[in-house]
Amino acid sequence: MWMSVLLVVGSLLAVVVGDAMITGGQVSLTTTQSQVDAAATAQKTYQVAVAQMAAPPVVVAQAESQGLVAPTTVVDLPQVPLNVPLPVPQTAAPPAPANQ
Amino acid sequence: MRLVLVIVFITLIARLVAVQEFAHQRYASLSASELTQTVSVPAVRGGIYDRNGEVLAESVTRQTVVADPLLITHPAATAEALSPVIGVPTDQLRSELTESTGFVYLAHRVSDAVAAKVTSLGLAGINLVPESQRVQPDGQLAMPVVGTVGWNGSGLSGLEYQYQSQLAGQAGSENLLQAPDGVALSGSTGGSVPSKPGTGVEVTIDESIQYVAEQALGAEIAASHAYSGTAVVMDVKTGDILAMADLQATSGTATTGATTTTPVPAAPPAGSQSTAGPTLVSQADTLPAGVEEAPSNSAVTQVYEPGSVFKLVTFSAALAAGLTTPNQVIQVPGSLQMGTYTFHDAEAHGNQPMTASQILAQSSNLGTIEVAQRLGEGPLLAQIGNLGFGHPTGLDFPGESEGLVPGPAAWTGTSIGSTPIGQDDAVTAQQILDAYNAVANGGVFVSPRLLRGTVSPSGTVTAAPPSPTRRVINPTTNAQLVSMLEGVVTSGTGTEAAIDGYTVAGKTGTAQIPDPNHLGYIPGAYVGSFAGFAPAENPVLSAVVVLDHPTPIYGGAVAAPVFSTIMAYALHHYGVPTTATATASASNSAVGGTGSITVPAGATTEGP
Repeated sequence: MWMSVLLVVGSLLAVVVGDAMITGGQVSLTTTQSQVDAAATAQKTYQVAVAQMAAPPVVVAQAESQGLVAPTTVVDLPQVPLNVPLPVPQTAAPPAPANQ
Repeated sequence: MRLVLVIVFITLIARLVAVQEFAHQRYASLSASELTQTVSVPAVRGGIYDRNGEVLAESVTRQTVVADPLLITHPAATAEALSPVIGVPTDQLRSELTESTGFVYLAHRVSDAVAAKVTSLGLAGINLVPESQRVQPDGQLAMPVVGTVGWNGSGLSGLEYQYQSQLAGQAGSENLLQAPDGVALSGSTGGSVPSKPGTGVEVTIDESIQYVAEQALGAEIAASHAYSGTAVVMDVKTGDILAMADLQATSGTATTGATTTTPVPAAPPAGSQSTAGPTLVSQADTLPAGVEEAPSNSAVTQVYEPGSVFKLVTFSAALAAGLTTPNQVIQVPGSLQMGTYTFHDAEAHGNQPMTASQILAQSSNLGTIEVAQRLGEGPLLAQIGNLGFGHPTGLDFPGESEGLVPGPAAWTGTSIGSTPIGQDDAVTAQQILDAYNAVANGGVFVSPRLLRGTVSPSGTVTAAPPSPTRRVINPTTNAQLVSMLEGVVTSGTGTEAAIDGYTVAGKTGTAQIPDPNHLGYIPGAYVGSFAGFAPAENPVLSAVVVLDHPTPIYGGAVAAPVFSTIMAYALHHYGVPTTATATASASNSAVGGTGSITVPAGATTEGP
């Protein structure tokens, strides 16, 4: 008799514990999902903030505030052919040794 | 008596079985409908990015302040505490907080700082709910192209409207338990269907080129007191539109350099239940005083009489038919009478011999008409259609016009005089650019495109299909045309389009504006334009600049310099070698030597 009661009560307890664990896991999952959503939201916000700071008008304004100006002319450096030896750099002759 | 009791008992049992066993679902759903309500969960709208992944428009989540007046016991004190934080007058708040309802909006989409302050107040009955907000971090840059979003989260114009179905995503739903008065209890989920984020759109626009185009165009609109202007830059080989600037003069105050944000459309009506905000625009743009973004993308939606830039059509057809050559001398009269209309050149002259190249370089109307008369109606109309005029460009942009070109039915006795020189035709700036781009591309017409790819929510970019192409001018004729268009810039009406270090080919246009109310033209009203490409010997970029009502009126004086400024920046931006450098490295054996130069593809393998 007592064994039967114990078995029933034990089974019910196990069901309750199992249900509590599932609920706890569900809560944890919901919390994690909320954290992911919050992080995604923050990421979007930061992305837009970066884009605002990198916008061409802002970059130009910053450059001008630092004294930079747009070039009036652009000079392209001449290209160096590779099928002929590179020119030897011109260097100043070393100073003559002093007379002993 | 017992029999009655038995019958009643059996009836009750039968009813119980009927309710519990056979009508269970119905009563369960009725019960649930009284306890819960289903609310729509809006999807996060996809972003719009430029060809390098820079954000042009993006949706972010903002907090909206709401109240449950039924839970507020001291409305006056709550209103006084909240008013300075959310910037709503105390009287208005007190009125809203005493309404006999369980839900009122107090302030839509407040900043994160304000939301934090509201939370720190800890006021009973005051809550924050998330709402989506569209933001354009570059200010109004390219706004006529990108478009705007309304209070309901749908695209209203531009690309936002064109790609609404992809950008919007799919809304989800959430079952919430509700209070007896019908107010949803936040967080009490009873099942949900997640929303599906929208697909982003990567466009062909290059943010840097767009900025320079708007600056150069805006400065010229201000300087020439033009009503409006358009500038479009295109990648010759792919048809990618790198910049599409549409500006207009305004009598209002100029934009400032402040970095605050303000909503573009008007505020929603009180009690609005919108779930996504309108486009917010950073006021970071610095257009010249008196100039602002146009309300629509006039490069494809507005038509105008092109004038002399249209002479390309006449000469391309005549050269292809062997009816003239660049060096053929043609006798150009001082004037030409057709019916009641007298045609003449911009500068009066008597009969004079001119080569075909000189006719194009000096933009002689009468010389062009002489060539067109050799050509005739049929071949001329065929070439007009062949170069894309009178047909959609393929962009499928909202409100796009295919233009108005005369057909055989509308052909009159003076058409052979007016049509070849760009009168009687109505075209968009994009159509003009498409035609010149075809010449730049060796005679192969390439349809323009604005969509470069789509960006999945995970950031994967799927490239859009390349633009279709078709040959419209044979290579020999095309080479002659390029040479003639180069002459326009070296010794003709387009010298202001020249760029240091590069060869430029193109054509000016100075067209009268038709009077909408009377036959003829508006006195003193002109459209000045320039269309061309560079480097002439190996074209990489093509562009068109159009100014409405400029002073001076000539395209060579107002539009050509803008073309030069934009193109000079773009050529250096993409590292296109100067003509002298490219010639020196033709053997392809030099450091940095380039064979075929193309516009860099940008970031396609990873999303922004």
